[in-house]
Amino acid sequence: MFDIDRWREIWASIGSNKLRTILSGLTISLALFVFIVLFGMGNGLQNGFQKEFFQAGAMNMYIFGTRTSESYAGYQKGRQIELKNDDLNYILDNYGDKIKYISGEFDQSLLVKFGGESSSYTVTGVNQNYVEMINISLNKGRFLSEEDLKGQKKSAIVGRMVIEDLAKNHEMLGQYISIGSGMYEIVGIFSSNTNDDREERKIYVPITTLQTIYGSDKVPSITVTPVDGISTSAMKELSDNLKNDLKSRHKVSPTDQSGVRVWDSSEQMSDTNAFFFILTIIVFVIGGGSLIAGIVSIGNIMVFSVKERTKEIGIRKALGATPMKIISLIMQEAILITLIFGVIGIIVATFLVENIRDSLSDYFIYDPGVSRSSLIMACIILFIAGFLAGFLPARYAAKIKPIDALRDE
Amino acid sequence: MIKIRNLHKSYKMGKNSLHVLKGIDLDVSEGEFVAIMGASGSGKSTFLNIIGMLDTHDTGLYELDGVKIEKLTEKKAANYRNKFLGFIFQSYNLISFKNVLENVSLPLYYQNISRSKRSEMAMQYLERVGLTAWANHLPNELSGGQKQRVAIARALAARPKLLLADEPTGALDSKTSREVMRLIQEINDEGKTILMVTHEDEIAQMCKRIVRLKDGMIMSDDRIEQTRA
Repeated sequence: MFDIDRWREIWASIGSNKLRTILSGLTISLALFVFIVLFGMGNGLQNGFQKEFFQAGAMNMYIFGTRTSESYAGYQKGRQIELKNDDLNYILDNYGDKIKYISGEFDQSLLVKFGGESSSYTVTGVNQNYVEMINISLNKGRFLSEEDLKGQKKSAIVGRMVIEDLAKNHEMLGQYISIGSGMYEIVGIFSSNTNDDREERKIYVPITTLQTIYGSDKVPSITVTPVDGISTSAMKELSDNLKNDLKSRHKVSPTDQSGVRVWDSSEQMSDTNAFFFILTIIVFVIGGGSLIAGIVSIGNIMVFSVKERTKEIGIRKALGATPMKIISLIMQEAILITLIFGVIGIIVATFLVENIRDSLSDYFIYDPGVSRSSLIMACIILFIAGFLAGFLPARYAAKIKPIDALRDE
Repeated sequence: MIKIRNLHKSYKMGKNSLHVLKGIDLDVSEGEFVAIMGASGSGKSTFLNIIGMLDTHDTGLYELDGVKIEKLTEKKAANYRNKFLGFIFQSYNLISFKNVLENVSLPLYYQNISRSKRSEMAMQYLERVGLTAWANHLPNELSGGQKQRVAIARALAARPKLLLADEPTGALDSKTSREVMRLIQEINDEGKTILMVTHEDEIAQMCKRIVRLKDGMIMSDDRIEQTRA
């Protein structure tokens, strides 16, 4: 298969029609170029979307109680359901393996004073995991710790805008701030990753502290971050299970639409997934289409080449070339041309795509790239393409009768 | 060497079939030099093509060197051609992008002989036809007579049992024709069996036996006194 004479023959044949070979080779290059660039751009678009929409918290589920709308198990309708610490523990005990983080939320709008200034802010009691569940970053200090929660400490993490409002950007870390009726130590200052002013006007304190102050074990809402890589359907299933379990714990009718509400992002997720699915199909249709054009083009020159070489093939057969030898001669030529030009297309496209990085981030395209596996796939496709492009002409060549070929003047 | 009995061949032309060979009987023994003559349409080329396994016969018997030739697969036919037969054509049929040496070594390539051995053997046959100096030239740099000598060297290179020549001098002037015929006669003198199709009487007289075909049948089959070219 790889004897040097065969390669010399192929080389001679390619050399005798350089221009034609190069032109149709370029269609293969172009096809692979288009394919890889589209593929890379698709990936870039996906990265861009992920960066823009799938930030921390995008997968979160929110669980809260509302008024029931059906009477059930001896309870009148219109009863307000209130989630408790027990519910949170129950979720953690039963669904811990599907949950990355969980935290209760206890919201209060409270008067906050610092220095001479005062204003009303949303103060939210959460646990130490909450910083990982929402899209904020700490500028200074730390987030709540386990000790803060266990000791019901009066520690507060304050949004950047609170500082701006109250302290005119004076150093506040480590100082005490009056929240409601208590004095809290500012242990951290955060800003929103999306520059959301409303978020930056929030203050986070240990949920245990607020619960103690208000003498309650109620948890007005629970936020759950599912484990990474959870599928849309698994997310939906988790959300349904949580809703049904909590309904039965609180004696809410299974058919009641109200009572316990669970909001999950599976619908948004499936919309986005559908979008990328369509995008992938488009990439494959366009890329595949240009690849087919390339295959046809190579096949075309090979047919021409075979027609032109009818006599030569006849001579070879008269001299003792078997059909197999003729087939492999033509096939190897087609595969060689396809591979050489395809690899050129792949290299140029990969070089282009890998060098875009974030220069197109205004267009939602961020760090486009092609994985090694898709490059390997492209090479396999190329090999198959060459095979297909060579097969029909080669079979045609093998069927040439030496007697007809030699008569062909 | 050749044993042919009641050989028939017809071509289908649409609805009609054209009966080209109508029962040919021929024996050729080793070392013979046979001219096959006939007007165009007499079936002489078809006959040569069947003997050369470039075409197949319909019915009858064809034995080449004791091997019965019938219903060959393409692969087997190719191998037999390679092993048994050397072809010399009117239009030389050299491969234009290969140099003289490569042309001569081509049948050896299909015998799976190594490259260096091939070139060495091809050189020997080029020497035999007196063209060693032209080994690295392309065919279109040669004259008609030289081209035909290259083709002869190529036919000999495979060391065939039988040499088939189809109007080998058809495209050559009379002086060059004589030179080429002299070479072919010498090859025959060395013991090679040769079958040659020609329509020129003068050329046929240089063979040792003349078989005349007419309308697909053998008209006459005479041994003659060879005229030396």
